[in-house]
Amino acid sequence: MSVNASSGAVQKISLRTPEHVELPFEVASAGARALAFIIDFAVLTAVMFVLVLVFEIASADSSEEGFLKAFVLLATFLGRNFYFTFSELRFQGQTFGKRRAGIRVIAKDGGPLSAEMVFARNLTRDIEVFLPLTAILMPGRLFGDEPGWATLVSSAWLVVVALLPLFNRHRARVGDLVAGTLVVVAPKVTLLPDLVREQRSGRKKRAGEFVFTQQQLDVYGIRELQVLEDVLRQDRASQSSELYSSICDKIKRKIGWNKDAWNVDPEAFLRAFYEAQRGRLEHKMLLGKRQEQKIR
Amino acid sequence: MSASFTLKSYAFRKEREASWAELEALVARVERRGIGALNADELHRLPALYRAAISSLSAARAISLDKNVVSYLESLAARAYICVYSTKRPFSRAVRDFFWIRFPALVFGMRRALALAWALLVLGTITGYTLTLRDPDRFYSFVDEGMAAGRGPSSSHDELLRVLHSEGGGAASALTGFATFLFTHNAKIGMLSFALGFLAGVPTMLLLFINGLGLGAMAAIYAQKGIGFEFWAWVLPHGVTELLAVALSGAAGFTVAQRLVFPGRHARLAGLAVEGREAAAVVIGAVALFFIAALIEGFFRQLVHGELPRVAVAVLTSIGWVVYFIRRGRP
Repeated sequence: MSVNASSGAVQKISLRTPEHVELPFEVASAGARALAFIIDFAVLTAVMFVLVLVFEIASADSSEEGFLKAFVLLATFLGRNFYFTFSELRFQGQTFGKRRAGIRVIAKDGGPLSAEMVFARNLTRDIEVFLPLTAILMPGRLFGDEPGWATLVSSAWLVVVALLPLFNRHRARVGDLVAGTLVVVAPKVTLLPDLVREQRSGRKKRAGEFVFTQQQLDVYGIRELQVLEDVLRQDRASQSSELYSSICDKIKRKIGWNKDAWNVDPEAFLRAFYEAQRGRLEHKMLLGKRQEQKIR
Repeated sequence: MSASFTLKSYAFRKEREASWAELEALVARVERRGIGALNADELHRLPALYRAAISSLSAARAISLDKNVVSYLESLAARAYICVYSTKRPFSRAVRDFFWIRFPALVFGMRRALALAWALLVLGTITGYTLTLRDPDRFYSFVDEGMAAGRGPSSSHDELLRVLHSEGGGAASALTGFATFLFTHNAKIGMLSFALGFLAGVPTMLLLFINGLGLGAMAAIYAQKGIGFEFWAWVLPHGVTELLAVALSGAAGFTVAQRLVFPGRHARLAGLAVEGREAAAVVIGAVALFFIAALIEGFFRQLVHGELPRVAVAVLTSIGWVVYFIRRGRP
């Protein structure tokens, strides 16, 4: 799901798990959350509609009207007030709509998501969403014959409450603040094959294998290494050979590659360079020296 | 120096890859079908694999510069974290624990806010009562038509008394409908007064006060006709429970408001998050009280018309609640 709202940049947040490890999460965008809500709302409305329809048909020729009426009343009440609570409890912080939008609720303190948090964040939903909606669509029903200015002020206030998620870093609505929860994207990353091949120590160097000196490997830092990783990991088909050879030339110039062996296969060169460079930087990291960037 | 030996990060990955894949498969199944999709063995494996992945992540951050491996482990650990830390207890156990331990303890803990909520309710009632006694026409501004059910200052003694002893339609099915309506309506008001707490509690105060006004005004017109006792016998059997639930929701709203207005030593939002959760739990308990109140109101009151049993129920429920909250709630 890549619904990215107005702000554009993705907000990252890191939580400390009970094991004291920082886990990064992506704060769900306002767009994704709106989408999730619209889906949930549509589902809820559809279910209510069917219920009322069934009730109408069943009560047409029945003396048990009272029971049916009670049932529908109770069902609408439970649906409107506890649908979100129930599904967030049952499905690890996801309602149907949230699942569709690829987002979920987690506890802001990194601990388990408790039932109370889920209750708290959903109890305020009524005044945050349904009241402002009523205020905008049917002001008469909400305010009756209040004076015009009162209607205006109340509506403005309700709109502010409803739009609160747009004005804070965590896209939190009032319910999230009250409950201490966050809505996040839990992105799925697939494990790609390692770019480094297995090497047996003591093996003879093959002819034509690239050998880099330590000075050459000390030029670049971690950032450049990981940019190279991205380039090498991108889909081969979409990769133009010009890109490889231009990067290859740039690196050769930068590290002062032997002019006699200047013409090389760009891809093979880049892979070999990546491997050697990663080995060197990881080695330095183990010795306590993280080289973040190139030196000149 | 050339990389003629196997990289440590390569060996590291090779050793652990299988357990990552196993965890990923389990997590994917939980994500699709819930935690119930795992059998006992797998359920046992999940936390162990999760901790292994967490420690892999720490190690990878220290030794590997393979961005893909680190971000893969971050995402895997995050997904597993959600599965591991959102497991739920059996529903019946959770309910029992809640009503037997958590709820009374929380209510006992917010007894001062509860006293404030009661004070506002009583103040509202007294105000409504005295104002309506002095000028009966004020009744109409305090009580809305639905609640008045056709009653007013101009109603006769007999008309007023008839409402107290009416059977609300008579048939059992109609009673169910009535009780359900009462429950949903009151529970909504209760939740609203909690939710309004984050507006610094002012709307909550108003809501409580207005609730009292209506009750007082209604009592006044009965008192004028000399049937005040019958009125209270009609209201209190369920009223004790219902007003308690209203006061509890209000008190929950106040604790939220208190955190916002007087944050004390904690940061506003951090305090809010803690209190908000507890207050929400109280509101859930209050919703249960509303349910009980609606049962009493919808069935008992419509079926039993004698004043004596009504008063008895009112007294019994009050004693019951006080004993429950103090005995179970006191730490």
